[in-house]
Amino acid sequence: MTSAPDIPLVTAPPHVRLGPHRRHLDRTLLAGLAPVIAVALWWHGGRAALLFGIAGAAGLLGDWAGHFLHRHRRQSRAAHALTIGFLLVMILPPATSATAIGVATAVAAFCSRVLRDRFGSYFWHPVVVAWMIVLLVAPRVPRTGEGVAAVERPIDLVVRAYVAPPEGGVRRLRNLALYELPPWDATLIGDVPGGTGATCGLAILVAGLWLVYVRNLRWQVPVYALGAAALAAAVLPVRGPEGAWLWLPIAQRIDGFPIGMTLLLYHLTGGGLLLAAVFLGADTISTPLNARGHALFGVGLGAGTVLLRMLGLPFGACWWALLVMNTLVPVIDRVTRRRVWGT
Amino acid sequence: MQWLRPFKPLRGGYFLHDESLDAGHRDFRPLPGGPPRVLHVPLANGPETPADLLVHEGAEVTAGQLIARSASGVGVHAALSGVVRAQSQVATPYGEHVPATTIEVAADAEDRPGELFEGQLDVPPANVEAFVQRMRVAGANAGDLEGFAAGAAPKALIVCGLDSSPPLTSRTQMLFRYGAIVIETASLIHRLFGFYRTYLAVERGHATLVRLCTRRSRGTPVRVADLVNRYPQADPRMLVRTILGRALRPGQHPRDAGVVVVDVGDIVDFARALRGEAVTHRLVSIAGHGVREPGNYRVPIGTPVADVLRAVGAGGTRQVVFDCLISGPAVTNLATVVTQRTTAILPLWPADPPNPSPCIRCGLCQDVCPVELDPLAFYQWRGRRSVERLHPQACLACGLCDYVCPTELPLMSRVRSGDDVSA
Repeated sequence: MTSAPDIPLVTAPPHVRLGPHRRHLDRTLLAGLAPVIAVALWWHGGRAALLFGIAGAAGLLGDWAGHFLHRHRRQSRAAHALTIGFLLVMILPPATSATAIGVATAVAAFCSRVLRDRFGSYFWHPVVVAWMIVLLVAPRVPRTGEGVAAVERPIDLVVRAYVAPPEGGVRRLRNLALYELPPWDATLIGDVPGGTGATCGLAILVAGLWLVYVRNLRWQVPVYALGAAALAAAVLPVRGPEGAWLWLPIAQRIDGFPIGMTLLLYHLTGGGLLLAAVFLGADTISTPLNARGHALFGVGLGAGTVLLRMLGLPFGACWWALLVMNTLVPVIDRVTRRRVWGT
Repeated sequence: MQWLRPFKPLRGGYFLHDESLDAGHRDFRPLPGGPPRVLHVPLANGPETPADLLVHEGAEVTAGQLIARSASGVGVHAALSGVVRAQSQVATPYGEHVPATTIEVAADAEDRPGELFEGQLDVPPANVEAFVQRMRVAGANAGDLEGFAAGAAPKALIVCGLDSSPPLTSRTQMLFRYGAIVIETASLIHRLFGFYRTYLAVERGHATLVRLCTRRSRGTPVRVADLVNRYPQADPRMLVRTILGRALRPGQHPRDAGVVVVDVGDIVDFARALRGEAVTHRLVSIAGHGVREPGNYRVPIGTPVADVLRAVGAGGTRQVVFDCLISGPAVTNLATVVTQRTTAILPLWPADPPNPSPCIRCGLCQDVCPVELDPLAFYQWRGRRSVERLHPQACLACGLCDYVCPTELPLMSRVRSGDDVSA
């Protein structure tokens, strides 16, 4: 009998990997921002370019500082840091202080980098954290919608229908829609006041479709968010002509004017909901794990946004709703945990 | 329209697709360049007691000749004519070392196993015992069927004609070539063992094959189950779930539920055994990196993998994966031989070692898991709670969670280690 040959070295599966790598996902998301950035540059020109440049540089700086602190050899997170900066610029009006944006982006990128490298996750979306930092650093600038008519967003006008005095209500909204609000199609092309990159609904939708196509974004978050927002806007009450709450506004017509449909359309595209649902919902770390969780997250985001607007939140209802849903992610994951097959 | 498509697709899973690793749909052929120079024929098919050699060293043997027989009557046959040389130990792809006899193949040996024809079976076995006896004599692997011959209550027979991953096309090709014989043999087994139902699982994507098998199965107890072949649909537990709609408990084997799942290659071996022929060859897919002639081949059992690779033009390969692209065993010892269980040989260039980074909670591992496990929970498990509540025994070890993970985390090994802890 001859000697036994070497024991075969059985390596662990899988022997091939699908990819794409995480860095590729970050770069794809950054590439998805391109059409929205292009539109922002078109409408806001040099000011937008300045803000994007400052935010990008601050993001890279914060990321580098986080990398330096961590001292572990990790892969580059530059694409993620740039995404944080660019998204922050998009959700804020172009009049926002560049210094505030720079500081907020650097802090958010730094925290994101440290948390991800050390703990593997973070709790709230870094862009929302950066937005809150801007509120602290320069509280007046993002709230220009309260008093400065030149930068009043369509959604700010719509919100007044909910909190208007009894003599206003939907009749006030009708007058707004007929005489003050920009035409709804202007919210699709971006020819309205608002966030630097949040006004052009069409560009955001195109970017979202592309991100879904390249499997960087689950369709559940934007679809359920927009669906829930539409449903909430169609059902939740507004102030009637006599000051009473008027339920099911989608079925209401004031002097022949379809008030419910106006509310619904401006809720969807007149504020930052589209941007929040598409780009901030694409962040995997601060969203639930599975598809059912994403659907629940989207419903919470959409309905929460409309609810907060109905309660008269003057600015950033969708960002507050996103913050709440980020906080609820562990609960959503627990609720939507699947049952193992055969148990 | 549900009645038109009674078999729901697998929940989870993934459509594997890689054109560079495709074996194509060519008919089975012998290895190019003639038969191998030497065979190391395994005398055992796993950890069981090896067969006793019936020929002495230096004896001349002919193709198909019985050269060894185990205590239970399982025969081992020479695939090619030649001279018996030393007895040795050979490595199998499954990490085992089994005794083997070396046959130096004659220079004029011809690699032409007998062809199978429909309706050739003149004297079918009268009962289960006779069937099992014929299988043993011919050296066919009756596997779970032998357990049912011992008196267990059989319920359903599933013949798996699905290829497990994209480079493999051998099962589909077998159905194209031997479909009628497979259905004939499955019908015979159905009658002998008294199965209530018998299914032939065929890939839905091959419409021609589905039509062909459906037509051939008319008037027989065999029902064609056209399934969406999303990996790991070919796994026996997945077949039971999809075809019978029955959820097996974690760790439960189909045979515990009275279901026998047989590979279509084994059915072809049964057909050969029923015709009194010895099982000496395997029908395998060969594809992968550096293979000049990918395709389906008829390879003698006991052929060293190095000889197979040399014949198909992949002589420089350092690592070979067997049977499944994702989760098959990988070996670097090219002295490993083709055994009766081999269904595919995939030479792959060694992949870069994984470079794991923190989880980004993309949820892909959950999406693709066919048994709806939460691999991330295993990865994050720190021993605070019992791991059993995560049901690690349910894992099929299909490797899809690792395959799709963009951060290259070793998820499957964590799930498997959870299984070890709970055991």
